[in-house]
Amino acid sequence: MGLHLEPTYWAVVIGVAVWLRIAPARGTTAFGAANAIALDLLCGPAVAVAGLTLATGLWAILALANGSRSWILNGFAYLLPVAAFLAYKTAGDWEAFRTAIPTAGPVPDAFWLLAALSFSYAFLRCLDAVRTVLAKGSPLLDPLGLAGYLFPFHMLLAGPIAGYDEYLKLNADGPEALRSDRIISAASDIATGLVYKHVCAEYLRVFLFGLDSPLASQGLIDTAGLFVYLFFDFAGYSRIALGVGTLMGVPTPVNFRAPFAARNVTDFFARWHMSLGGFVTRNIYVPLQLRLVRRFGVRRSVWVAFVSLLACWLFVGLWHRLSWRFAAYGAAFALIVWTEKLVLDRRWLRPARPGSGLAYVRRGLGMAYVFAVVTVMLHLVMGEILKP
Amino acid sequence: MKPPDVSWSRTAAVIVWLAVKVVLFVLLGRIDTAQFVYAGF
Repeated sequence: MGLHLEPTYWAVVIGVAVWLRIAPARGTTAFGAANAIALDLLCGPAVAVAGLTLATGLWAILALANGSRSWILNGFAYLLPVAAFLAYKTAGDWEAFRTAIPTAGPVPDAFWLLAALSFSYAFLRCLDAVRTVLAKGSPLLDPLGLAGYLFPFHMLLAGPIAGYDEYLKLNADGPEALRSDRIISAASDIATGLVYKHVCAEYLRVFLFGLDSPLASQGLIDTAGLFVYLFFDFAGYSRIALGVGTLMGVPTPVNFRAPFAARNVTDFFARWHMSLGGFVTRNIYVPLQLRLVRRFGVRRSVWVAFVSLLACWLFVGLWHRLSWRFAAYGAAFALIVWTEKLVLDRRWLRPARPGSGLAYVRRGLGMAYVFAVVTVMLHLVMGEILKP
Repeated sequence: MKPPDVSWSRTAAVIVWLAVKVVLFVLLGRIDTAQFVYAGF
């Protein structure tokens, strides 16, 4: 979808950036109102109404559960987004995407459109908001501000996933002043993103698969090409979102940091889709690991870490698609990351002296190892990723 | 990580690099250009 090539999109971005600096309301409310108008202008009024309605529903549940000791209300606040996500995934997100686009007029269809466009990411933001408000005691935003957090127009299609606490900084600090260095930094991010997405990814697609052919993989070489294509497409989108967020003063996380330079798979996932990694770390890995270590003791921490990693990776796999293959994909990555953790923690592989020839060789071998492992793993699920 | 010090030379380099990216996008970032380049091979 060429949203970034529409002049309306950039007019909206500039309008929101100016509005947030002069708005009399607090940051999140001002952004929520501007975001609703942006969704109206870019996707139609029905989508804006659908977003506000879903956010108001979540707000009502959180308002009831917040401060209440009732485990039923608290459990309901967690379970409702999960149930909605499972229903959405079971219904087949791609099917919904295809059928919803041409009929985005009436409000019931708009819910499908919004879900198809954004629900995988909105679901993670829902969980982050629920946990941060109910477990950490962070303040609950008003419905307008919450809608801006759940369905931000510049992160609508493919994230990144800003933390709820990060978004709250908009109230504490307000949008940062638009100094010349910030404008240049934002413009640089946007230009890089546009080149990644509309030049690098697009040319790679055309040269690998032809002009009008759909993406397909006949073997590992094709998958390796798709892996690089995926990087430019996804990192380009994320980089544009980062630049737009900087311009508007809305907290927007960095999502990619030179992933192909990673030395091992663990390092790779600290550089690839970083906002998903951050979500999983703060909402699943850390709380589960702490609970399990308290229960079983530090001496069993190696096995406890495996259980925590398995939980995280199964979540990541099934979040992509509810299937046995993606569950196996998640479990295999958990095993790889856990094995690397063992090797690194126990120093079975002694670090090479920085600057030595061995360090460079290891670095090169590490990068090749990461590329090979991720390509093979991607190849195992490629059939499902490309399934129409 | 400490941000790099601001200097005129660094600012000029960033702006030139930004201009290169904008030119690349404007010249090549269109599907019909991609088709044209592809047809040339």
